[in-house]
Amino acid sequence: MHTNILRNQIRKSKKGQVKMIETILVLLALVFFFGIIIIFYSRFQLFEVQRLAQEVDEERASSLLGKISGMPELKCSVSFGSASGTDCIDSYKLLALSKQQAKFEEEFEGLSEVRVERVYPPPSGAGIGQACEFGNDYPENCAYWQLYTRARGAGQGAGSRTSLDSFVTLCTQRSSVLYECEIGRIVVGVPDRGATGAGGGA
Amino acid sequence: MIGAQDAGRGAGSARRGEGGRELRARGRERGREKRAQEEMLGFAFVIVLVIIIGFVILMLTLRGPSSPLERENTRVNSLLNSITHFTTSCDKESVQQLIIACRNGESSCGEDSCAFVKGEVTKILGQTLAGDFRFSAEVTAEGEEQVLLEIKKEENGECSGKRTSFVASSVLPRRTIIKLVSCPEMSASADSGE
Repeated sequence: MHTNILRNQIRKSKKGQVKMIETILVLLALVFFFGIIIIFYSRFQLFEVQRLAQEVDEERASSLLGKISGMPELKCSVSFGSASGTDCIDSYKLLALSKQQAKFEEEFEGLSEVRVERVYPPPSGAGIGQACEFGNDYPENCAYWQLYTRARGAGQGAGSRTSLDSFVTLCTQRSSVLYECEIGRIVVGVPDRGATGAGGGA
Repeated sequence: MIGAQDAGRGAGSARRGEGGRELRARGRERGREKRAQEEMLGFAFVIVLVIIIGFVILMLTLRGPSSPLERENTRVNSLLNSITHFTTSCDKESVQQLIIACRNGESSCGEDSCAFVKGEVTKILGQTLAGDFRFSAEVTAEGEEQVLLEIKKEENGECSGKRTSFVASSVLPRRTIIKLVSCPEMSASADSGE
């Protein structure tokens, strides 16, 4: 009688142990499963944040690109006829503005560089890779105008940057009635937020 | 006396037998309840799983519209504008003026205006666009629909709506429309790093 009861109790406690082990295993599996989900989710979120930061940088550069190419200090006057209504830049105004780096610093916060390049006809001969400066054959023998470069070591701008470009009509007044237009490109760079921590826009 | 005791014992064991049956029935009932609870828990777990997977899929699909596409559109638009105002080597005429001359059937610099513009624009597009493109000038006046000139570079198939394409168009005088379709090989347009 007693042995039967004892056997029953042992069987019951064994069953209980098996059930406990089962429960523990299920709990472990659940913890493992949710752990994996959390890891995937956090990685996904991290990528999303990085993507958003990149997008914000690009938006900032895009907005600055529009503002800079539309600056009255650069835009063609009405003397350029129908070209003046489009994204037209006066090459002489460009020359004047390339000597006013401080203006960009004052008016546009968070810039790292502004450059205008000649695209077509491409610069040839001595003009290849040359910055444009005033001379007799201006603007023939040069390749680009460096309007602004953020000084390195100023605490910002030394890291990576996002740059965007857009085509512009680059016009030069030859006489009071004659003007010539070529195809240019304006490049605007902003420092990456992640690299510098610099904020702000124009 | 003994007989009465026996009768009492018999009644007791009968009561015990009834109680045991009742207990067993209750145990079975509890077991069924437990199993039902377990099944409910499993069902809830499956539902939670489905919700999590659905949430992840929703997040992946509901990503915002990619702004590089908008920017590329603006870029192609500004390129077309620049091309139309480009001063050619032919009497300092702009591409726009030469297209009008082509529409009027005039010649420029001793050459057919259409052929001259075609040559000039082909060179410009070769220098400015990396991928495939299609440039055309058309007249769309009533009762007069004519393609004045067409320039194509379609190395990776037709540059049409089937591929990611960016279209810009501009209306010139006398119902002449110029259109530029760019089909770049899609990559991030913004370049990072110094």
